[in-house]
Amino acid sequence: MRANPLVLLGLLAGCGWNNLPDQDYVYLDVPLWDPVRAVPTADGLYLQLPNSGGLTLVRGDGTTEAVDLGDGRVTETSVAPDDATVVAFVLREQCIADDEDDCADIERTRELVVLDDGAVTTTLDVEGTFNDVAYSQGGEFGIAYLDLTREVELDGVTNLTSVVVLDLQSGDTTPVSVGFAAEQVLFVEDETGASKAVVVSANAVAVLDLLQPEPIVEVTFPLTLDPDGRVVPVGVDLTPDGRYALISAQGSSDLYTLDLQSQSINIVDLSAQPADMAVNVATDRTVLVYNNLPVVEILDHELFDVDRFELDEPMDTILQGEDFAVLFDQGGGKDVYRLDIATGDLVEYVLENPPLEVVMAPGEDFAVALTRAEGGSSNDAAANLYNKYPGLEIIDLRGKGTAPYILEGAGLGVAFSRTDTRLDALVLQEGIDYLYQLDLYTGEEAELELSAPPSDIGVMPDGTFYITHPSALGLVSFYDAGSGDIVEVAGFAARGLLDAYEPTPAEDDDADDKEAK
Amino acid sequence: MTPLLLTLSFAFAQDAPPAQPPVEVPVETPAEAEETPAEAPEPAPEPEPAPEPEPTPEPEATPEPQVFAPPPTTLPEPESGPDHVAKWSLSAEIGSSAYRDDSFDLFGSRDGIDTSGLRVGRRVVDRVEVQLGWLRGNRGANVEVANASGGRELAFQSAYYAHRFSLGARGDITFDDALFAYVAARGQLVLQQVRLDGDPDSTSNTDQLSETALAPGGELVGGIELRIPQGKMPITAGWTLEMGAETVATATFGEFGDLRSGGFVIHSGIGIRF
Repeated sequence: MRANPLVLLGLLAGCGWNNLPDQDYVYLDVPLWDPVRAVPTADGLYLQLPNSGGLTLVRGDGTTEAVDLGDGRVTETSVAPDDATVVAFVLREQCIADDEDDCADIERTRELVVLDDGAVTTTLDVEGTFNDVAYSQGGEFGIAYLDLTREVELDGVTNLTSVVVLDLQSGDTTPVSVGFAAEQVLFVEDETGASKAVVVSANAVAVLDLLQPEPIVEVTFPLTLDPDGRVVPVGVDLTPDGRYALISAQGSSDLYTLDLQSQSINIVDLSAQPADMAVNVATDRTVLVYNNLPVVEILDHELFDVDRFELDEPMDTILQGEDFAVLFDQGGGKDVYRLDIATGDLVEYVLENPPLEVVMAPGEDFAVALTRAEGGSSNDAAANLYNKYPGLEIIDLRGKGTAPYILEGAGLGVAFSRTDTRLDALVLQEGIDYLYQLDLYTGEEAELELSAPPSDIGVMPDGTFYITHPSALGLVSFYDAGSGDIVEVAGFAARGLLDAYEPTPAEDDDADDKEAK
Repeated sequence: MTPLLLTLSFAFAQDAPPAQPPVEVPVETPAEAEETPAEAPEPAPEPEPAPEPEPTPEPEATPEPQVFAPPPTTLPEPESGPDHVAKWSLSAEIGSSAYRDDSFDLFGSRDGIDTSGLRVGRRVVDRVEVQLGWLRGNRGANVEVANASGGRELAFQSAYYAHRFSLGARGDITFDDALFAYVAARGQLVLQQVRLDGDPDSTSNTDQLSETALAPGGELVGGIELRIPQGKMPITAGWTLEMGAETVATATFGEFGDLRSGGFVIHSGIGIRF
């Protein structure tokens, strides 16, 4: 008897997509993926799949592939500055059996798996719990540490004083004790690469010599000699020559300047506790702003002299340009300043609404501010309109003007694409299933239709935009602003959906004995 | 169950019609020759043992007596006799198959699916029937995940479909052609499909995903069948109830992963036999 394929197809189809059986409700403890934790690389977008514990690589051409990491669960993923090397933290859990239960206990080990183009290149054993990696600019070193500001998954005894130096080229790992709760890591680099790492932790700053066969602590700078005192670093940066580490502390107007060569500490007295600090390489100066003080200060790195400039409102955030800084306030003020660091010249811009985020466009001719609805009422009809809606404002850094736009939904993110003739800003709005595209040179607008509202937007190393959507089964759109092409990739988060992550089962001793025989 | 079966079999045995219809033979008996009194008959006397017949001598050659015998009666062929059961069977079945694999939790909290379908059988030898069957079943769920506010929200809809194509043999024994007890062994090909729909309200969303898998399996069941006894009609009705165990190889649904079914099965069907 010949089976008619159409009959089989009909049997299989059963019913349409609108009539799927739904006799029950099922709750998944963990999501299949996280749309705001994409890791863009030159090879594609790496995405964690928490339900299956794995990692998937979504390429710009729309293909997806599983990254084979073996048994285990990926807890964090990060990309090195070369935009290609990816380091994944993998937690491997093995059931330990006893007579009554086949998983009476779980033995956990952690590894750092180095990936390139979706394939494992190196596996590094690490002892301890870490959730972040700081990379040297050249990508030859990484330092794994536990960032306590992020979600921390602890098990067993955790040593909070240790970091691990990763030699990403040789695959060597070296645990180093640096002080309690390492928070930030900086690298002293020159043309030949990184030579030292500065690890800032509570009450101490450790300088590691990376060029030794096994990296060691060269010197530790205590930030206080009072055992009861606690100095929490807020801003940390290195001067361009790598000689000084500048550290501002919470609740203190002191700026610690650590001389890494002479291994000495100098304290500069600032006007107040800085809200933000940025070291400018081009001018070799540091810009400081304060929460409650309407001034901006510029610190000279030669003599550590401070120049002070008055503002109308306090600023709390610094956005770096090549030789200038954009200052703005996320606390409700509507002023934005452009500061020429070399001369101290200030240009004031007044936005229609308070900014949530200000982003520098490529080329540094424009900055884009995403603003929130301010509320309230005014006699001015236009001001009333701005008060009601979130907005977008284009700040022309070449002059003094701004161009405000009212958004349909709250701005979630902005990304840029630049060609010889266009400078496009792509704006993501909450709950709106199109991207607003604006050419900053010409003011030409367009709406880019998407199949679903977006969650996040970013740029791949090749300039292609990626837009993630809150689809549980996974949905990413790649947008080439040059050609206008959109490639949608859906369903990648369903990979391994039927094989939810579980610790590796206990080994069967009997089976092992048989194999041995 | 056993007392019930025995009761049913006894009932069918009592009610069962004779295998051959009675044939009237015109033989005169003394009882017929005598007048039957109208009054109530007196109690019959105790029967006396029949006298031993005396051995009769070998008859010598005598002229053949004329025998007035009735003309030979042709007995009608019974439509079905005790050893003659229907050759074909066709049943509509419902049942249940077990899915104890944790992967099946995606489709609901119950570790099984309800099935329904058809089974056709052909008796090839006396007590053996070859059977061909198709059973289909599905199960699905609204899958929820935690949202940003800590509540739950619908993430997608999951659905599982299975089509069990089986071929096997049934061996049975019968009691008066009305009650059958049987065992059956069947090989299976299970055509399975997993569907995931990120937006159940739309038919054009991009996150409509589907993977299909084919896995071999088998089942061994024991059961009973009750039939309206044959012989009165060319087509009779039957009811079956069977239980047993099933095993199906692990099915791989592409990137979704693996799923394995198997365990207790139960089927019940009604149908016709001819």
